[in-house]
Amino acid sequence: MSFQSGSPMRSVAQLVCVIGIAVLVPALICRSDSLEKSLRVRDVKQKRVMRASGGVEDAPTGRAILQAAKPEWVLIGNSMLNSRIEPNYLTGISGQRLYKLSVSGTKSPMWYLLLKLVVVESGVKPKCVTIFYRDRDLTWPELRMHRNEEMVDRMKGREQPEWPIVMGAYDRAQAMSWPGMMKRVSGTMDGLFAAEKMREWARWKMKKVAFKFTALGPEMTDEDRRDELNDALSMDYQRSDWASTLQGEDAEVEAQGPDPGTRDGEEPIVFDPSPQESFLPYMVDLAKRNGFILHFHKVKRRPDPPTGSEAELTLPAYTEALKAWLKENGCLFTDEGGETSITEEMYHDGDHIKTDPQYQRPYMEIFWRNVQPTIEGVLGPKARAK
Amino acid sequence: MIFQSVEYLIFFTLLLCVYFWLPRKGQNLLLVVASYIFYGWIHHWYVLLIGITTLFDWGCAIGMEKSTSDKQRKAYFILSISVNLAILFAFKYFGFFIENVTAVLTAIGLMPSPILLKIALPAGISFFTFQSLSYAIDVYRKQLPACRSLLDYATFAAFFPQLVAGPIERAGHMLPQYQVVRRPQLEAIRSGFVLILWGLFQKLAIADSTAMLANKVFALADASFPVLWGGVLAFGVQIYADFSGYTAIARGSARIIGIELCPNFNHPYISQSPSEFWRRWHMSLGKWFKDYIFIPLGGSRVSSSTTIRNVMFVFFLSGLWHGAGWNFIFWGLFHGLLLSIWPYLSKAVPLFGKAGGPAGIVFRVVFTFAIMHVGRVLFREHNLAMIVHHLTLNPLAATLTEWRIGCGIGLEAVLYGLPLTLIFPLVEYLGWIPSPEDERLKTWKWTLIQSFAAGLILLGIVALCSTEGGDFIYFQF
Repeated sequence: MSFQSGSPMRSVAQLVCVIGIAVLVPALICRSDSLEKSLRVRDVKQKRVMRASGGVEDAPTGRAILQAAKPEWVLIGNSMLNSRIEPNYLTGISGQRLYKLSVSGTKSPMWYLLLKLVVVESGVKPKCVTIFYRDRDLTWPELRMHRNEEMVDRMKGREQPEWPIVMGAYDRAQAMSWPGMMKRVSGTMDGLFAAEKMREWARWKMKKVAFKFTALGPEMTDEDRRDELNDALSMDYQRSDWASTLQGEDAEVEAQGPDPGTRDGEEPIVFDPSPQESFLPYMVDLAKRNGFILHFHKVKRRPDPPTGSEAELTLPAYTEALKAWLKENGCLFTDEGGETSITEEMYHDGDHIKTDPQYQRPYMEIFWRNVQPTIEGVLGPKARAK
Repeated sequence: MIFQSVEYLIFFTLLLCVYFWLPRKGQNLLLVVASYIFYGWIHHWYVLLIGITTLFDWGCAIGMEKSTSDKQRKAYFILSISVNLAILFAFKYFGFFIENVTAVLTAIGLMPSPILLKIALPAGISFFTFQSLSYAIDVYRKQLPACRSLLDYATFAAFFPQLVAGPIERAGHMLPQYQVVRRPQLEAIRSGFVLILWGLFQKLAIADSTAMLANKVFALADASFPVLWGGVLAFGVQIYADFSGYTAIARGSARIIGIELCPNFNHPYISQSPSEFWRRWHMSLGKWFKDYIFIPLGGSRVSSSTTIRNVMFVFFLSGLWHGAGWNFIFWGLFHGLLLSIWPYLSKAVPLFGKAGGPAGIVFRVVFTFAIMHVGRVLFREHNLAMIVHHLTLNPLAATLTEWRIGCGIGLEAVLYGLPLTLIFPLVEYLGWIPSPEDERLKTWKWTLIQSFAAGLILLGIVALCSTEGGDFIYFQF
């Protein structure tokens, strides 16, 4: 065995040295105590200005946002809600103090987590929570779940006792799948480097330096600068063709169009309220125990030609059964499906309304006209803001 | 399959476990199979596309070489070129063509029934088509003998590290590398490993982070002047880091398996003129256009007006190569115009030439950087009305808050870009980046330097890696 210059053994040793040190340096630095201390300083700075809408980074942030906003009416949903409702305008026409808690691409498991971990645990006690849904999304928890995985983890969704009852079989199947295995590998790598902590700290530091050297105008805290930036770039100000301008997950989700199975499925859709099938019974139970009214709003899809599929043919019976069950359990239900004044030209695609005020505002007026008789009894009539 | 995935890590590790034990033909066969798996991972049908073009180009090239007359040789050449261009047109430009024909017919009062044919664009089709075209042209020009081995040619046509986003290689550079057996070179493996880390840092830490800023700004319905240009700056950093990152991973992967790919970037953001920028940015595409379009048209050794025509035509094609959209065509024409007027501008204003000493250099670098970013608006924004809106924004109409936000976005993007635009050129200038053949790499001192550099890069990836990563931008071309 020779370690002389140019010898094969020396070259192997040098290669091992490069790979070993490359892996060790970040692992040791990321796991250092001083970083931990620095991160704790960061944690207490999570405060936000009151805004009328937003997503959530995690449950504590979501609760803090809601506690600042103190809404009486909370709207939960995904891009269906995002494209339909501009909260300031709806506040104007309804006179209600509302908050739009929406995350694009989410489905019923995330709505349940938002309801439980953000709305209920915030202690805000809204009078009414409206959930925007489409077709049979409420009782199809597996739908596009793979896109919600990261958010579910951030919200600690799998730690909830009801999660394995509804999603246990799905999770087990996922764990055995290729993406599931890949996720475990990358999770192990993240764990080795304590990547999440380091990432949060480093990215925040970058932002702080940028804020420091661009502090134009009145003195502001870094947190206020961050809120100002988030607000200026929020979805509320996005253009009507925004889906095509994004390259991230949102765009991918929006560009996919109608979900497979919602219209084209060859299996009949049957409403099943059992607690193993969906989070719907848990949502209803939360509302009962916490003294607020749950209102479900079924959105109208673009009036496309009928597909004649089993799913489409059985959807009306499913919706009737769902409506009856909700009524029986003290929930409110509205359906804009028969609303003829929501015309085809208002749609950006199969599900989303154009966010251009020219289309979105008439939509919101129609929406309020439709839901007002149902929910004003809960919220109480308010003076119009304008 | 994408480079920044666990799948690729496993795929590449498995490949290495087998690769160096095989004889030359076995190595090439493994590379072809691996390349098809890599490409088929995106969509199974894409494998068929690359397989058919490979067979066709290989056969046509042999046909050209065996031809007994010039006419026959030309026929094979035209066949090869036509098939490649037809595939490119069908997959990339057909939709755009139909859309515009429909618009023109509608405008003149004819109401054509719309053809609803949506064809998925195979990733990297422009890259591998241009690589195949270069082979056909080189063989036709007798600058290169036709490759007799289908296996060697298939390896060249589908080599996975550079298949989807380049560099666009020449057969003259690549085929000789496939015609010898490759044995593990440990210094090259070390160097390739660091290069892959550096590419991942560019993609995951810089490009994906700045993409979040740029995407949000370009999604705004009515961005103000400072916010928009903050976003443009972020996009400028993003696209450079994204593409340069891809190239670094491709070169690093190839280097580990004993194949050397050509570099594609040479610090473009320190260019002092648009023409220098294009010699430093996407160099393999620039050289392709120069060798196969610009010079055959007469290059710059013709009259001024003909030179301008040639430049405009090349950049028109470059725009079209990038995407089937009017914004890309205008983007190409914009750069053609810049290159055409720059010689006159530098004669009229010496500061645009070589005058001014160090201050002049700084001025030219900043000016070139700024003017290139006007082009970025045309590249990033596909909606022509929005392009007009963006380019006519009034800076004086913006509020102090908007300036604060815009400057914050711009500075954050610049901070993310610093390792790529400032630290890396400086380190390279100081001679601290040895090539794989450099004798210094055999010393322990340089091994330790390389180890800690790799550690710092990995630390950068861990610390700044964006959680909202997307595909490489150039996959769409």
